[in-house]
Amino acid sequence: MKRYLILEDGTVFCGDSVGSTTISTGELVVTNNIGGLEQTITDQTYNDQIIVFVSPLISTIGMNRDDYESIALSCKGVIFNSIPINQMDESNPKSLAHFLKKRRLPGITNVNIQRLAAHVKKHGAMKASIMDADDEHAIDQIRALVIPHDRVKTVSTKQPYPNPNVGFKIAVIDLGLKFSILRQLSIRKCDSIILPYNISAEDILELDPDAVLFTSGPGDPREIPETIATCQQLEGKLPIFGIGLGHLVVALANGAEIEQMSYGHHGSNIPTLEIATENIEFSNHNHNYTVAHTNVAQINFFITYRCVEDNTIEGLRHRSDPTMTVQFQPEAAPGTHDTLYIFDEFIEMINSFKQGNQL
Amino acid sequence: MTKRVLLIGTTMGLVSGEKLDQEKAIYVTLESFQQSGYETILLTENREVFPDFHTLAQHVIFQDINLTNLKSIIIQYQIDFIFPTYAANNKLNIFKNLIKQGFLEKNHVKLLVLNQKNLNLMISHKALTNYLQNKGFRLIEHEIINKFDEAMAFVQQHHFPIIIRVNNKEQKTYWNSINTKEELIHLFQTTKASEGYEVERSINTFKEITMTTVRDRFDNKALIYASEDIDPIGIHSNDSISVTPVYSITNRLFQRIRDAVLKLTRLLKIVGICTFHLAVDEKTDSFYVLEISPLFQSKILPIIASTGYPLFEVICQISLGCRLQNVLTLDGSIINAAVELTPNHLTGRFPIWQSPQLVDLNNNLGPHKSSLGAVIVNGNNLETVIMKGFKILNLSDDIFINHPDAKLSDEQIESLLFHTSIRRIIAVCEALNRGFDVQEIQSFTKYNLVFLETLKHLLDLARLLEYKKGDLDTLLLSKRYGFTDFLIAKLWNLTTAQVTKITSQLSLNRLFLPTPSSYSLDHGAVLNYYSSFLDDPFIKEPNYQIIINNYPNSDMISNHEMTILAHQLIHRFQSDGYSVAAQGNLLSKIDSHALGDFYVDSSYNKSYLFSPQNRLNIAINTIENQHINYPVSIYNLKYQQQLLQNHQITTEIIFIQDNQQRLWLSLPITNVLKKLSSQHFEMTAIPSKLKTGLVKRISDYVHSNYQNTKFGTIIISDNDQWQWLDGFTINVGIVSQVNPNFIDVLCHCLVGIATPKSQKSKHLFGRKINLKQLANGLYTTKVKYFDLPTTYRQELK
Amino acid sequence: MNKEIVDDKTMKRTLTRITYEIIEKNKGNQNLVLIGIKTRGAYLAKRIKSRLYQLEDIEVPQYDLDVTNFRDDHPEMTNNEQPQFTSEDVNGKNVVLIDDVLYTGRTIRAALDAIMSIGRPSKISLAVLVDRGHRELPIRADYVGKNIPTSHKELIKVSMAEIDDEDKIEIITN
Repeated sequence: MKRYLILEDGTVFCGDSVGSTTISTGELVVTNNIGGLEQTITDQTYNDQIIVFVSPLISTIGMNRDDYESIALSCKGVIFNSIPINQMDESNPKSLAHFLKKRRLPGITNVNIQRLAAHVKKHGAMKASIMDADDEHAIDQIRALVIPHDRVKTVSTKQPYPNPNVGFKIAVIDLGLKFSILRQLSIRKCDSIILPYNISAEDILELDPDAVLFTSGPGDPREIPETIATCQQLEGKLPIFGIGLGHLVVALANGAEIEQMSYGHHGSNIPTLEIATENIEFSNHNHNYTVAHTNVAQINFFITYRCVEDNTIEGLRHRSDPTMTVQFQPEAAPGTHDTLYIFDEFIEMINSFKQGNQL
Repeated sequence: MTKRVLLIGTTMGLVSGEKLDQEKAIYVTLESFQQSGYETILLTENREVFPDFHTLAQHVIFQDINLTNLKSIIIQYQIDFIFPTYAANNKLNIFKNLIKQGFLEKNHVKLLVLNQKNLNLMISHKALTNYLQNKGFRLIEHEIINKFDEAMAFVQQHHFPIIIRVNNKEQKTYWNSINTKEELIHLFQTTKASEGYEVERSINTFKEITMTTVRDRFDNKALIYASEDIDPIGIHSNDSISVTPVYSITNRLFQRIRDAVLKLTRLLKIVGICTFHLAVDEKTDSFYVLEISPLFQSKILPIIASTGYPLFEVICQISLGCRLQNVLTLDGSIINAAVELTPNHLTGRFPIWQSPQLVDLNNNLGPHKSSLGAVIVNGNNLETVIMKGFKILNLSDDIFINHPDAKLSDEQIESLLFHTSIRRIIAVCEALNRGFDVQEIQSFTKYNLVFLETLKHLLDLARLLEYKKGDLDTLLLSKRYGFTDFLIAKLWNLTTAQVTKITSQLSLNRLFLPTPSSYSLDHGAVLNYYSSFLDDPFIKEPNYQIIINNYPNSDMISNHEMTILAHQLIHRFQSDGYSVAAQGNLLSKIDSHALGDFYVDSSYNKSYLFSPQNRLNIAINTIENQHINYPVSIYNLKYQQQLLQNHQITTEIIFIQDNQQRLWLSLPITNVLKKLSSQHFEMTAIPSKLKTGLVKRISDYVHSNYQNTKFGTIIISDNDQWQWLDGFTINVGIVSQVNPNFIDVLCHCLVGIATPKSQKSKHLFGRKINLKQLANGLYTTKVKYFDLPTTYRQELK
Repeated sequence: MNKEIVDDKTMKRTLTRITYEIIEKNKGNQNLVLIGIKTRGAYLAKRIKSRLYQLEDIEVPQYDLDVTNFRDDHPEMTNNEQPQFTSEDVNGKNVVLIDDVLYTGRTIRAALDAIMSIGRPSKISLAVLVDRGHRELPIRADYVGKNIPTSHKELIKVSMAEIDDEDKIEIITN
């Protein structure tokens, strides 16, 4: 069945339907991921977005259920370059087509991805719609759509729940949690409690955690002032680690400015420079917003990572408080293992904070 | 003071596609060194180099690459660096000795890329095994045993199949593959081993993966290439179809392997690239490192077609000490080369065997490489990649139409599936057509499962096409998956033109897409175009004044001659200000700078792989010359051999004729054939003097017989028989070195403009070709160049 | 028997972390002076200096210090090497003393003697790559890369790329 991807500016792309045949609208993002299809689709950071995969033939081995990053996925659609024939078989329970159908996710394949990618690169991120027909009516519909401003609220947990272990007690503030963050904490024996995004600082301190982690998540951080306020109140009192959206929350809490990027960073192979050592690592990025260079010199942070390609700020560390953040997703999933050590740094930061307290 | 770099060039001997790729890479490297302000000295054994080498390099030295020559060159030219990336593997000991003797240190020469550690690991397999073991890598289980019982104990633990060989330090012994107890008993009965046996778990069913990393002096590194072979371990990686990116192992395992190869790159202090061959077993989620090489291997060339990564420029710049994030490319931009690019498409590499035809081949593939070249194709899906590969390899007809194995019984097909012959793919397709289970075929052939599923898909489509003649939906599908109009026409019993007409009604359009990846490399990418059928608006190609189209041949020497000729033509036409496009597989772009547009898929319908000529087509469309086609054939080695077998001695002269019937004649090339045995020939070619009497005779001959012919070769045999060829022979390379204005005259004659006087100097030499016909249907060619006697040379000058 | 306990990657990271902590505990970094105890401590100091430069764009003064003359356990060993720095270089400064392994504490005491014999810093703190325990003096490090509990019989060997070809920390047992 023929389906259309219609962009907000009227550009049309055509391809074949895969998965659900529903109509769907969302923000278009282009990702570079080659492997880790299931991890990408289930990442809550893609909430309300239509994901475009540049690379063809990702995953001929089927959907690996061990690699899900959330249970209820919340992206709006997937666009493919091409799909291997064995993954188009809906009757095979391991296939991509089966997965998309089951999860009611619409997709289009055999699209001219090169033209699409070049278009987004040139004109920036925009809204788009997966439709059955290409008519003028469609564009009006897309234009009329308002991207929701409560994405974190949709994806964050409603109730606190524990992920017990024997080590440090970490308060994980769920802004769109990826399971891999918990996996990395579990590897390091952390006793985590996952909390909703709007929990108060008081309630967190009441739990007496050893550290706080703000997770990655979708959308604009300015939409969650309550989380920013919580962060402000906790700073200096506990070690804080921010990932992705959490990084932006911490930066905003400290007076940094943030700006929207033209088409963002989406991909598991983006070269990032660790400034202290001038070494390049490849990390998994997924963000449309970034900390602006404008007043970063005035706030009490120094930059620890930047993107090699466009100098975007990718990591910050507080000059006196035990607070560290990274814009990329050090837990990878998908992507390289290059930056997993950042979780070790987090643990070391908790250690030296505790030692400092004992002095 | 300007630093001097000594580039180690290619060697004489076996002619292969690998050598041609190295030669092309040296071209880029010379340009890159020159751009960075280094003086280059090229030491090479190959005399038929790209003519530009003489202007790009300070000195081109034609000498044997050996320790003595290297030492004297280092001293004579006061070399600062040695750049060995394109050297042959069999020259590694020279570098080892240079290091060992302290010669480099004494003369303040820095050997780039290689160091004692990585040299040792490349030369000795034992050193590699020990090194990996020390670094905590998993090794293939192996043991030294003395008795049959011990062998059985090993089998108990690791199961059949195993490989076993007599342990002998003095003499090289061969591995035997053992699958059953009976075979093992037999081996113990028939061999004696005083020092015991070496026994190893067989990994012949594992997947082979090739990965290439890049690292700079400051420990920045990236995995730039990973490909997967269709054949399992046990068949030489170069003899297997390979596809990039890797698609059939889990992301998790892939990341683990990536971590491992990057760690090794760091430990070995690689500055440049390093290629790893790995065996991967998904059942146990394990992998083994088989081979490590910091030298360039043409196996990894699909990097460029896959992502547009300017590989050769990067290697050159980082070897000199550049940071990966500041690499200067030939197009003048500074790029971040520390990237792991995402390709927009799939790239396949299909091996080519040197043979006059595919039918009589009786060659079993194994651990020893037998293919001599490869073609690289791009496509949006695996199906298209396979179809494009089949087309160039001349397999499409047999697989989809002729079905040569159709008369065999199921049992016979089954037994063919076990034989690792070059033609096995046809038997596999026959089996799939007969409805053999894919899993079953996989268990016989150990082919990659996804590849087999894809093949089945293609065969099903072909059958559906036959069944539903004229059905547009099926046509659409088959176009999307790479069926050519030519093939569809055959399945439908129509003409190609008719099918093309029907195809034009589809919503699909043939689009030419650029190869670089969509993100990351905004500058400095290597740009080629590949075709793809997509449901997307048609983009008109630009109008080119000159289009040069090539058709690869299985004969490696004629490919070499053709590539150099085509390259010179492109270059010449471009400097004369024409817009030029190149089409075809051998002419793809490999650097970020080269002018003109390059299309890796040419528009031809049939394969010329086994034709006696290597074809090149020059299409000219200028105001003066509208829509003119000049097919240029280079008659390949087999043709030359047959010619000489009839005549023993021949003399060849190339003529070029302009519109006013004025003639340009090349120096004659005299060919002699010596039959060393019934299957072994030696052909010698030397330039000779053009005598006035001969000039007159040729003029008369051409003017009376070939008035309107622009160019050709006249072959005069020993009994004064005259023969005319509509192109050139494999001596064209010698001709263009001996007659420096050959290309200028040819190009200008084709477009009809006058040629200025040439200032270039002659390079005079002779060439011996050693042709060996092997029993399995393949042949090998070895070249050797030699200097002409001084007096003779004076006469020619 | 040699056993690698820290590889080059971890060592690199550890140094980066120590650098971060030095920044965190020395707000402003204005008065910072790095003194590395020869030989490996000196290389460590150089690496920390380059990291500080990358991060903060400041050139922190860095000196090498040979403590042979100040040691109490090997009185027979002397050389005439004088420290590279003068009293002006350290007076009123915030000195970070850097060494590879912290063991008995006697080397550090010697280093403190050496510094104090030249000038009077306002503060001296200590950064070590490895703390292996068994102190014989009341000395503790402010920045510790790795705590590696050892027995007296074992030996800790720190290798650094500058002189030993590669970065690693090994534990040697006889």
